[in-house]
Order: sequence, then C-alpha cells, then structure tokens
Amino acid sequence: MRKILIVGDFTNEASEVNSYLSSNFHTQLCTNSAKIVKSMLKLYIPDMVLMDIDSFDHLHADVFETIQEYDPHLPVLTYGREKKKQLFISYYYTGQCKHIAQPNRETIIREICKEFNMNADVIINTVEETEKRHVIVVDDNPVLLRNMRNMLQDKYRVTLATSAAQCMKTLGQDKPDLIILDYEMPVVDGKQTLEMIRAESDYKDIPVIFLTGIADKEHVDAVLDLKPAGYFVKPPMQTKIINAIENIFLKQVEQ
Amino acid sequence: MGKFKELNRQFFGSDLPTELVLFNIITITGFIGAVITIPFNVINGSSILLTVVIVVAAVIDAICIYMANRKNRLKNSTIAVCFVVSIALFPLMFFVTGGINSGMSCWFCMGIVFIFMLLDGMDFLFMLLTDIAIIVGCYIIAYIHPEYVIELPNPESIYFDVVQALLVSGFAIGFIVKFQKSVYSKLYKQASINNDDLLEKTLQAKKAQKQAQSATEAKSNFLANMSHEIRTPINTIMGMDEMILRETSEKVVEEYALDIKTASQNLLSLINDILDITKIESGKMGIVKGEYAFMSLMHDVLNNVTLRAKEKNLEVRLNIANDIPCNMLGDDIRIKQILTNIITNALKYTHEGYIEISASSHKTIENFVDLSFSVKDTGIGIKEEDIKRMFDSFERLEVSRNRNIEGAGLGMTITQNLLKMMGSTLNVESVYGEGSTFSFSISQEVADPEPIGDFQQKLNQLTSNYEYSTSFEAPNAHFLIVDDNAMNRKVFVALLKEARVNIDEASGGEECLDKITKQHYDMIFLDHMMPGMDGVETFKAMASLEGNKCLGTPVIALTANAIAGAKERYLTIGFHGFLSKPVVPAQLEKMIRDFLPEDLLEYHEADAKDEARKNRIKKVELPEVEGIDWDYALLHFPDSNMVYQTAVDFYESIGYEIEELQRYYDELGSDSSLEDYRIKVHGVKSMANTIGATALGGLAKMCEYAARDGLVERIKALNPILIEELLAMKERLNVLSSEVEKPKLEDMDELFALLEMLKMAIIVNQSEQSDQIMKQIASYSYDDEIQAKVDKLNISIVNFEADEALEIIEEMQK
Repeated sequence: MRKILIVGDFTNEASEVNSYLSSNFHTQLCTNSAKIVKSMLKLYIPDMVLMDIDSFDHLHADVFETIQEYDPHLPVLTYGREKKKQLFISYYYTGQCKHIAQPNRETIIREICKEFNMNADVIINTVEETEKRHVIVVDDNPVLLRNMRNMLQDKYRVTLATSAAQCMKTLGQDKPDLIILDYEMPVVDGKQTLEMIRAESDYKDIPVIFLTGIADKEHVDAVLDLKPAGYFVKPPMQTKIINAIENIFLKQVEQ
Repeated sequence: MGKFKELNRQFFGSDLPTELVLFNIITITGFIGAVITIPFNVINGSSILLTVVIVVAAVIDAICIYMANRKNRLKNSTIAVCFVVSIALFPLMFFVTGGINSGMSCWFCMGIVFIFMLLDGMDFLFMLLTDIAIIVGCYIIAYIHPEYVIELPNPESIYFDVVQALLVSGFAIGFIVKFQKSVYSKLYKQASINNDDLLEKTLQAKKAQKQAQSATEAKSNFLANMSHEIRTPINTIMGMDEMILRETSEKVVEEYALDIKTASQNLLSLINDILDITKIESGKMGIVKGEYAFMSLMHDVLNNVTLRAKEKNLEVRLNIANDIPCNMLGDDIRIKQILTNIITNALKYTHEGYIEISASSHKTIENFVDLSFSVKDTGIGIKEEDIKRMFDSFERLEVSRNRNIEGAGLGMTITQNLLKMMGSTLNVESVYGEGSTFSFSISQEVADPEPIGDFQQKLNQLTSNYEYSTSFEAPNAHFLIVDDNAMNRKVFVALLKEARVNIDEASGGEECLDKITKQHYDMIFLDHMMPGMDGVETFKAMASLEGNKCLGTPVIALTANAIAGAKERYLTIGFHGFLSKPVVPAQLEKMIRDFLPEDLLEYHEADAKDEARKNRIKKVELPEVEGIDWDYALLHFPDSNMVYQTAVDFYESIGYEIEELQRYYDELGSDSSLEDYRIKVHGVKSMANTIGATALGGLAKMCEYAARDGLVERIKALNPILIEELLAMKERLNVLSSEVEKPKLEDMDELFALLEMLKMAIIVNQSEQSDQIMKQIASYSYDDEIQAKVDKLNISIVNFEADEALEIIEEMQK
C-alpha cells in the first residue's frame, strides 16, 4: 500500500480524512510542526503528503519548506480555504503542491489516485461493508486487556478502556457495536458502568457482555439481574467468546 | 441617466489612475458643496466677501478639475487646490462665518484629510504643517480677538451651517473610503487570478521541461536497452567459453577458447565504453566518493594489464612510492578505469621494450594529498600536432599506420572527461618514434594516513590472499536462478558446478513465485529484464506472497543494464545485492560468501575472517519456568506466540502490580479499602492464571477470599508471602526478556518521529499500534534524562494511561 503522511492539527480530534483513507492506503497522522514533520519524513518515508492547511498560519511556511528540502519531488496535496493557499502560493509554483478546492471523500481520493496512477472509481465505489464491527473492552487489568485484544482483533476493531470513565469517553468518540465489561473494577464497578451506559438513550441498546472472575452463584445471579447480553468467567477462551459475540450480532440482524 | 453614466465613467472610471479618481472625488464634492452653499449664503445674509471668496474658490476648483482631467496636470492642480483651500478659503470662511460657532471644524478636518489623501513626500509634509499652523493660528486669533470674527446672524444659520458642513465633509470622506476599499478588493481579486494564472503557466512550463527531459531519457534508455541486448549474448558466449576452458583437455580447443575469451572481452569493454560516453554526454556520469584501499586498487589494475603485457612480451616496471597513504577517499572505480585505459593504450601501441608505471603522493592541505600517476612506454610515440586531436571522440591517429590496432577511439576521451570531473587533466609528453609518457595528478582525501610500505611485498601478500579464499563448497545449499534466457541459466549453473550447490531453475516471475511456495531456498538470483513479470515486480510480489517459504532469503538482482546508479536503485528496492552480467565468477563467489549462512559453507581453506551475516527471526519457544504450566496457558490461547507475549506483558507489569498491591495493603483498615484490595488481588489472580502460574494464582485467590470475608489478620499473614512469590516469579520470568545490550539512539529526529507516531496512535485509540511503537522506542537506550522519561512513558502506555502518556510526549517533543 502507498504511504501517505497526513499533516494537520489533530490535538482535539482525529482526522475524518484518515478514517476513509486508511482502508486503501497506509496512513500516518502528523502534527503540523516543521520539526516534527521533518523527523517524520525521515522515518516514515511517505509516498505523498496530505495537508489540512485550514489550521495553518504564515509561520507554517516552514512545513512547506521542510518538505521541499526533504524531497522536491514528493507530491503534496493540500486542502482548506483558498485564502490559505494564497498565503503559500509560491510553493505551488514548483509543481510540488496541488490544492484540492472542495475537499470531500470523493475529491480527495480522486486526487490521490491521480498522483499514484490508480483507478479511483474502484475505491470510491466500494461500499464499506467489509468494515469490522467495533468492540470496546473495559477492564482495569492491562494484561487482560491486551490478551483480549489479541484474541479479538482479527475479527473486530477493538478499543480498550481501563476504567468506566475511559469507556464513556470512547463511547462518545466512536459508538461501538458491543461492549465487554469487567464486573470487578475499582472506583466505578461494572454494574455502575452498565447503569451509566443504559442511562444514555443513544447507548442503551448496545449489547454488553460481562466478564467476571468470581463464579459463585450469588455473584452470577447479581450479574444476570442486570440482563447482560452475555456473561463469562475469567479467563475467557477465544473460541467461546467469539462464538458468543457472533451469536449476539446474528440475533441483532434477525430482529 | 446616460449622461450621468458617461460623466461617472469620465471622472471615476476604473481605467483612470487611482490618484486622479481620488482627486476628482474630493474636488467635485467640494465644487458641488460650494455651488450649493452660495444661494444659501445669500439667503442667510452672510457677508458678500464670503460669497465672493467661495465663488473664486469654486472657479479655481473648476479650473483645477479641468487641468487635471484634460491637461494631465494632476500634481500641480492638487497642490493648487490644497493651497487655495487651506490658505485662502478656509481661514477666510472661518472669520466671516462665525468662527468657532459654525461648521468650520468639519471643513478644517476635511482639509487635513485632503492633504493626507492627495499629497506625498515633501509636498505632503510641507502642506500638512502649513495647514496645521493656519488652523491653530485661526483659532488662537479668534480666541484672543473675538471682535475679528463676524458672527452668523442667528442661531438657525449656525445650526444650518454646522449640519451642511458635517454632511458635505462626511459624504466626501465616505466616498473616498468606499472607493479605496473597492480598489483594494479589486486588486486582491486580480492578484488571486494572477497567482492562479501564473501557477498554471508554471506547471505548463514544468510539463514541457519534463517532456524534453523524457526525450533525453528515451535516448539513454535506448542505449541502456541496446547494451542489455548485446550483453546477454556475450554473457552466454563468455560463460560457455569459461566452461570449455575449465573442462577441455585438448590444447588446440583451449587455444581457440582463449581467443574467444579475448575477443569477447574486447567486445564487452567496447560496449562499456559506448555506455560511458553516453553517460558523460547526458551528464549522468558522476563521481561517487568512497573509502578505498590503495593496494587493492593497484592490485585490480595490475591484474587486468599484466596478463596482456606478458602475452606481448613486454616488461612492466613498477615504481610506487612507499609513503602513499593506505586508505583514501575518492571514486576508486573511476580511477581504476582511468589507469586501465592509459595502460592498455600504452600496451596497444608498444611492440617491444617496457612500460613503467609510477605513483607518488605528496601532502597538500590538512587531510589531502595529491596522488600522481604516470605511465611511460617505449611505443611508437605521437606527433606533436596530433596530441590535441587525441581527445576527440572516435578519433584515431595515423589510421593507416595503426589500422591493425583494435579500439573505437573512445578510451582517451573517456579518460580525459573522467579526469576533468575529478578536477584534473591528462598530460602527454611524447617523442615520435621513441615513446610517450601519460601522467595525471588528483587530489584525494586521506582516510588512513598509514603509508603502504614496500609495494611489491604487499602486492604478493594480497595476491595470495585472493587465491586463498575463492574456493568453497556448499553441498547443502539450495539456490534458485530466475532468468528467461535458458543459456544464461545454463551458464550460471555451470559456474557453480564446482561448488556443488543444488540449483533450481525458473524461466520467469510466475514460475519463481510458484517455486518459492513449495520449497525453501537459501539464495535467489533474479534477472531484472524478463518478459511478463520482470525481476523487480517479482521481487515485490514475493514480499506479499502467501505461503512464501523464502521470506528472509537473500535475493540478488542480476542485470545486464549497468547504467549509472543501477546498483543503488536495486539496493533501495530491497535487493540484498546486485551482480552485473556477464557474471564474473569471482564476484559471484564473493556474493555467495557474503550472504549464504555460514553453516552451509564448507571451505577448502578455512577463512576465519569471513563473517556471515545472520539475520533470522527467532522462533518462539516457551522456556521451562518453575511454577508456570504452559500447557494450562495454552488452553486459553490459540498459539504459543500469544502465550509468550502475554507472559512478557505479565513480567513487565509485575513491578507495578506489586507496588499497587502494597499500596492497597498499607491502606487496609476502612471498609472500602478492603474491597479495593480484594479487586486488586483478584486481578493478580486472573493474570497469574492466564499465563499458567496456577500456584501463584492459588495464593492470590486465598488473599482474595480473605478480603471478601473481611479476615484482615489472614491478609496480613498472606500478603507478604504473595509479594515474595511475585518477586520470585519476576526473577524466574527474567529468561523471557532478552536483555541484550540496547543500541543507543543518537538521532533525536528518529525519537521525535516515533513519539509523534505514538501520539497519533493514542489519539485514534489504536492500542496495538501504540504498544508496538512503544516497544520500538524502548528498544533503544538514551541519555539518562531522556531515558527516565521514556521509562515513565512506557509505564503509562503499559497501563493505558492515555492522558499521562500524551503529557509526557508533549514535554519530550519541546
């Protein structure tokens, strides 16, 4: 896959552009500081640089300068307001930079494909059905989290959270199709977390699977009272847990 | 309406100069103002004097408008208007129409604005100061001598005068600002359009330039292809001839074969010469600096020429200075080429006698020496008038006398050009009929100043070294040769016959891909130019091929396309090495010795110096660790790789877990802390069980139950044991972390980039990616200060503390 370095201001949110490019290109995000861009170019060796110049001011001319110094033939695509382009117009004269006037998924992909001599229609017309479903795993134990990620990541897009707070934050950024929740956690436990999730009307229908380390009847009943979509005793086994998740998704489709 | 438009165009049209339009706005507004004022003044009953002054001013104003628009006297008119208005009209109006109790403040203000708008430079400064003096003067006089001021007759006139002055001056200034703004925005738009035009034109020019370039490239590509086409058959000829020489026992056949060898070598060098000359002409020839050993350079040169000298029965005398530095920086390949050219030339034109090769060096500045070579022969010599012509391409001297001497007449041109590139030139001294001396001197940087010492002795030593290490066998090695030309493959196989290597052949890229999924090969030789899938495409396909059994196998590119920079290009694509065709047996053997794993090689003469490069991926094996039942762990994981990884994670987090556990333990007392302790110890239990440390898990379980049942005394008894056991487990798991000494990362740019990648991975919630990048960062060692931060960062990444990690990165990136 071709490597694209995406330069912009990502301090607050990840780029939307990245999400629709990453399925067809190898992408790497990068903060719009000349120093960082310089080091990144050296290490990542991209085939193209894509820049969101809306966040640029005249000081960011060094970013252009850096790229030109690094390789004057490296294609650079920019998108953002016309005014910003006029600010850096001299870099467009060399033919290195091209500007995308109306950036959206289609125009950006088309311009990139033009640079790489690829067929843009194929990429644009693929409906992203193949996208993996998103699963959030919440557990206070990092080793178990990584373990879960290793088991699930082939089939699902896995996001990890070490606490209820992180879980809620991730929930807001990227709505999951399923949540796997540890029952025993410090500060806010699994039960409380579930209540927090169910309290939001947007999230109340997301299926939740519980993981618990304790297998006695009392506990199991307490967990089952919460009506989770599934329930497992630790340590979980890969085949079983994937089966359970698949069943839940199947049922959803049938409904 | 039409007339109005016409007037508008004439005075304010966009094609008029900006200054003129500004002037017109101001003066015409003033004129209209004056015309309106006159009847009102009459009605108001103000003094006749004022009316007269206004009439005079209006007339002057009108004249100025006429002069500026029709007679092109803008500047004079401007100054005149400013003068009349600020020196005569306004002061008079001030005293006649009521002084401070009138609209004069507005008029004065407008006067100042006029000056700012219309004048520049010294005129501006002068007028402004004059105006200020007059205005201030007027007010001071009016203050001291109020009797000089003729008051307006009644309050209505005062109000009327103020409003009228306010409106007229306000409108005038408003118009001016509007006009300026429209001029500015027009200019901005025009600039944008111009920029875009320029952009398009620049790009078009670039395109044209590219086309021109590609035409030149087409020419050199054609030559490169031609050279390929010619080299391929020569390859076969030379290879097969080599086999004849090795295998024949008949003297006559051997002689024939030797003749073929000489002829094909000549043909090859001719093609090389043509390639070089095209490279020089297209500017593609460059001098590539590298460190070289003077001895090995001379060895190679002499190797090439002594054989031919022997054949012609010529003596080669060597006169090499002892104090030449042993290692220098320069383009050794080109120096070799220059020397070989000069010496073979001398050999060609010398029929009897000797050839003397001398070399010496003397120190110039700092680290540089002038390295001088001279080649003296006892040949036929060159006429004085012919020396200059010698350096022209395809020029051969005295064709009739020398017609039986082979050559295309390129050698000297190439030599001279190469020397020019190195900042030197070839000197020729010759006595016709007696012999010639060719000499040159190049500046070289010294890499190792140690002198070479006695040349002849060193040379003998070097020669014997060469002979030592050439022969080896590799009966257990499997090679794959991919070439569409069956003859080439045959030659290749034959060359390695003595090494007893097992060689499979593939006639194209597809067959090669098929073969490597079936069997592992120790080395693959891949021809570049093949029909269908070429070598580079095949190489790229190999990297992504499913079921490839040859990942990590060294792949050597074979090519007849020896144009400038070819080697670098192959190496950047990812090939391990590069051999130019026709394959030289010595180079092939060197390549094999460099890349074939040591255990597959068997030397006839052991060569301890040779170090094979091993670059194999360690296979995951789970080491025996006391207290860990890997089989139990494998119940929960699909493969041992994951178990290994989890165990490493566990090992790395034990320290942190112990700390946490101790913290909760120390806080024991209140109810909630007991629950926290239970959850922590529960976590330790499940982690331990996951990797199969069941005994440890059991101990943690006892603690957990004690906490659940509120048995603090029991926890106090058990917890120290648990911590002890955890420490012991950490000690035992030590085998997992391969504590090799970490290389130090000197290049802070790389750390910077890695940190940035980590930051982005955290922002997009890619935990696996962030783990991997963190591992990469941690695989280096750093200066103490940075190391401490890296360690801190590592802990926060291991524990998924995103905000802390981002903070540390931010700090490190400053």
